[in-house]
Amino acid sequence: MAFALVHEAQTLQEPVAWVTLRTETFYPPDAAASAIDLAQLAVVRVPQHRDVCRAADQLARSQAFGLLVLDLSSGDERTLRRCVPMASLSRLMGLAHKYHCAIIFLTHKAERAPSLGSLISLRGQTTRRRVGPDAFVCRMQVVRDKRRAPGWKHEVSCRGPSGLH
Amino acid sequence: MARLACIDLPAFPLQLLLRRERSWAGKPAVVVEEDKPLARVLWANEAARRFEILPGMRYAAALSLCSDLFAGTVDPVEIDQAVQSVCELLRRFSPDVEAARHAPGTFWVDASGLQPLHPTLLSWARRIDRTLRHARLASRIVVGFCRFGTFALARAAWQAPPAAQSAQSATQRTKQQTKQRRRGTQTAGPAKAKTARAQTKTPTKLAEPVVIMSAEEERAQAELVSLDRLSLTPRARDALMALGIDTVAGFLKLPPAGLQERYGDEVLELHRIARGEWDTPLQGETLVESIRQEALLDEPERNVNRLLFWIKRLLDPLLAGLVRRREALCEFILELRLDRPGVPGGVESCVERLTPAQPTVDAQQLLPLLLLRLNKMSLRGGVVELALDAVSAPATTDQLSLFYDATRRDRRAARRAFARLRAEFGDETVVYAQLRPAHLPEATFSWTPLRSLHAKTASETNNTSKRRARARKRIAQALPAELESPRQLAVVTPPPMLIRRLYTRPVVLPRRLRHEEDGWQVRGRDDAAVDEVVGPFVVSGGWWRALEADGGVHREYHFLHNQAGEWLWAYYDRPRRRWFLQGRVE
Repeated sequence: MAFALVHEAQTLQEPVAWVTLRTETFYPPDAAASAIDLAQLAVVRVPQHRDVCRAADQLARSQAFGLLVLDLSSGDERTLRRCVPMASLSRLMGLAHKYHCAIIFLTHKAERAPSLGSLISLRGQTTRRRVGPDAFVCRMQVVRDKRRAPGWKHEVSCRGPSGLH
Repeated sequence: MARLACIDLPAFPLQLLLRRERSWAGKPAVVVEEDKPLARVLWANEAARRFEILPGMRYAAALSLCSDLFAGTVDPVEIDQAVQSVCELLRRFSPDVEAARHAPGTFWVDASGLQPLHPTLLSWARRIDRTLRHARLASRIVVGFCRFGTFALARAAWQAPPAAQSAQSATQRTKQQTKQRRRGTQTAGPAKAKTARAQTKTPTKLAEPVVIMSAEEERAQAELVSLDRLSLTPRARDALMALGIDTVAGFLKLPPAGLQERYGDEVLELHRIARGEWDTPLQGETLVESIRQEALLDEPERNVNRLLFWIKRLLDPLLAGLVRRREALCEFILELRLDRPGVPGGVESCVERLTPAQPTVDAQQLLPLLLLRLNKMSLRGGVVELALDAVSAPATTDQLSLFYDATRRDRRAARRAFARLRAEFGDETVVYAQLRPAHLPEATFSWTPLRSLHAKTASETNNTSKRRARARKRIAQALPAELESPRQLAVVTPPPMLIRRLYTRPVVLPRRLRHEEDGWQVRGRDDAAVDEVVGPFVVSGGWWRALEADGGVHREYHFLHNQAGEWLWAYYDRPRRRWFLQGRVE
């Protein structure tokens, strides 16, 4: 689902940056198969979790990006709490407002776990379900939406990667 | 078996005209193309026909035949509105109502599954007939099994010729009508006499609704219907009549290829529909839900802040409803009912209207306006009931899209940001993926240093706004018909693929136990057990080096689904005899 937003941003000529750790990343051939222009997707690979927000700060401050995806899904809750302090969130929110930039945090946490912070504008919980040999349904249930009421959901049909059929 | 009803309102524009001009009832009246002497007559009532005024004549010619002729135009917009209102009437009887695209006044209604509500389909059809007559519309209802059969039988029952009847063929028409009358005694029976009487003044009862009991009977009766009752062009109808083909049965015997060559696509389409080749399911319109939100307050409320919270609670679903309809709020209507013991009824209504700077679906733009208005209002009593409604307009993709801002991005600033990141985290920090032809997953791409974002040429820069507009249009066109969420607008084509997460260094997994009592727990005893394995997919290379130190590559890739719902991407490295976790599917 994050790549669907990347695709939309690229379609609208908005520069996109993906900030991730050096230990793991998305698999580029899959992204290319989803019509992502890899040459236009800046990937910032940082050594540690705490560097993600610092890198995002630099990128957002440059005013050059329309979408920043911060991939923190390898961090546990304690790591996330330590590496994404409220001060960083506050700065990022201000920069996003000021420079019209969308910032997405990808995290992996339990359903009842708290959000990264109260400044998060929209929080969605994603699930995936196999509905056919090569058909999956990804669902995002929005549990928090500051602009509209929470509770809405979005479903998108996907195909599996090569071999998973 | 699915049941279907065709409801035909004959000479629908003429009925609308006579409904509008009630004093013309019983007098010669026609519908003309436009309000000019040389405009053609489109529809004529029976009183006008007595003066031999027929559709196709010029209005001036018709006026020369009858100096007391009344004429009027019916705007296509008026017809569309009337069609919509009839659809709404019919939806009281069935949820699926389809209006014929090319024949205003013809409707199909799903009649399946109504037996628990109505004792018989005939009583159901009679109720529809009564409702339409109450709305001053004459109708003919046939309940049957397929679109064409019900349509043909409904058309067969009314006496007035269709609009396409031309003045040139009036003589021929008179002969054919005589012939039809003779034949009509077989098809329509006693309804004929009523029908002839009914045409003189609308609305009246055309005929009793008819319920066909079997598909075969419907087919047999439809084949007897005269061709001039169907929506054929005058040219095609006259040509077929000249060949002696005057019923549906004869029409169906004609070869389709010849029909297209001689009479065109329209006749071929009718032929296919008549043969049942294009009998598609009903295409009923989706009901539009009201977005009005209401709340009853337990106690009369005068505090502005608390009222604002009540309104916010209703505003969110109101805006979500608008987004589902792909609309934006133009005007906000707030209705307050105040507790006023002194006034009659004890309640006083108060309506406030607010207009945002531009149509929006953003509550943050509306709430400050509401607060200002509520602060300015002097409530003469506590609010006991409030309702929110909106005047809406179609939303642009910009209004519903995440990336709605068209500010110019400074790509040179991106270079400076990249330089800072490289200085802080190392030269290999800012990269982009470049695909390579290889077999091993980690070899299928490489990270290439990225110095700057793609520099656009001058022509690209000039065309950016056009491209953005085109892209937004593409996104808007790719939207699904039914929106379930505001963000549904963002996720559009192409069909996405699940993206795998790749570990830079594959994780060594514990060896499999000989006896796995709880199933295969890939990452150790705390892991969820595997319940499905897809694979293996073998990647093998360098077999000629099998005897050397490195032993070549032989990996057997699997997708492992565990009970926690994860799809793991693992491989068995045969030379090393170990399992490795390459990544996972996300």
